[in-house]
Amino acid sequence: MSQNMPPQTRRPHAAAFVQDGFCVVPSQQVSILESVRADVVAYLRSMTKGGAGLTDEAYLNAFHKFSAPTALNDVRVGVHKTLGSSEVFRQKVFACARHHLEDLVGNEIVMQRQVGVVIQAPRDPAGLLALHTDCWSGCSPYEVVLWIPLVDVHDTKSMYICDRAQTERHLREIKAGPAPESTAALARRVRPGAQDLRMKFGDLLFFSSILMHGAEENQTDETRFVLNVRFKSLFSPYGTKAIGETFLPVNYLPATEVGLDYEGEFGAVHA
Amino acid sequence: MPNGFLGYNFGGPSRGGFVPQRLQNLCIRDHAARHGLVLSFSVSEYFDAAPALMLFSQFEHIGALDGLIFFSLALLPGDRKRRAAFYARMTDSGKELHFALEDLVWTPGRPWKDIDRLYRLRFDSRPDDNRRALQKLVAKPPGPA
Ligand SMILES: [Fe+2]
Repeated sequence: MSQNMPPQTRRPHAAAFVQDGFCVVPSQQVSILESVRADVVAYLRSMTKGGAGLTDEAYLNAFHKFSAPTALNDVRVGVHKTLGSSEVFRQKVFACARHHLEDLVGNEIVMQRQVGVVIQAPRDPAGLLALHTDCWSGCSPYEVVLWIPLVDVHDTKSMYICDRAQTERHLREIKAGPAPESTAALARRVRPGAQDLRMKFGDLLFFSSILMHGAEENQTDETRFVLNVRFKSLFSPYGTKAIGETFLPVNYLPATEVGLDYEGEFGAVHA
Repeated sequence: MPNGFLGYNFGGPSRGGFVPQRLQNLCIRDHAARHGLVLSFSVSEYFDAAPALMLFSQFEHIGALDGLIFFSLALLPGDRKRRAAFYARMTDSGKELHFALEDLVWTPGRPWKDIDRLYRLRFDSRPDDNRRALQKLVAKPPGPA
């Protein structure tokens, strides 16, 4: 780069993201986050009997006691359809993270259309996430994943993640070969150096789509409830998850408004 | 009396990718089912897709339809003026336009701006050109001026 470029000054969580590939921060909008959680709880209560009188946190932690394992998949599908694709819900989730997100991807943002909802009951093997990096399934390395626990998470109630240096070391080894013969073999190699994320409700995790991560069977006695959704800069390169199909703009900045309107009417300006 | 929606697909490679027509039709049928729309039948664009002749010919009988279901936003005419002409014909028709893959809907009376912006942002190759230029610059920084 140009030798005249000044050294970058970054806020601590942005510097951590560059160093580690992820950062955990307290949301600046806890009341909105509480309202997001209340939406989830309200929906679950409408689907499932039990848990009257419990706080939202206690209700989610104990959810496996109200919902039979066989019914859990219907609940997952229902939450996904009803809340995950609701525009109001999506805007609330964005509002919880906007403050920190802008330091990571910029202030002209596209957001995944569907907010993912993960429900993992204790010792339920269904719906587990084998070790992977999102880039392997076509995500752009310019994407940031927002991961929001709706309950306190720790150990196997949480997920595990490799930081940037470890991920890159494993990726170099895989590139050099021989390729791992199974996801289990890969996990055996990667898991020891990975860290379990310990987070409180109110914390937000932002991680790069390049990072290796996964979730194991929940060996605790409480249910894991997590939201996840991806963001990126409007104009950074896309992977196979395209704008329109997977991502929609959250906002356009003034110069983009003007430029898009100009090119819409008068045609693109090419070099 | 309108009798359902018309599916619209393309049999050739589109925007550097190829989706078998059978998959395109599955996607269109799934979209119709999820939105409670009646799908009457589907047409395919001619192999030379640019002029979108097959698409424009549908306006001759659009009064008999409830609207169109494109397999994807990618099937909008690539030429800006041709696209504008298509929007104008759609507006005149007063019918709905759906994009199955993207699950997007345009309804009569709404501006075209959002759809057209998404289309142009999605298929603009300039950001990729910029990325290549940036990678070159990083690999081989220019010397001091
Ligand atoms: Fe992932």
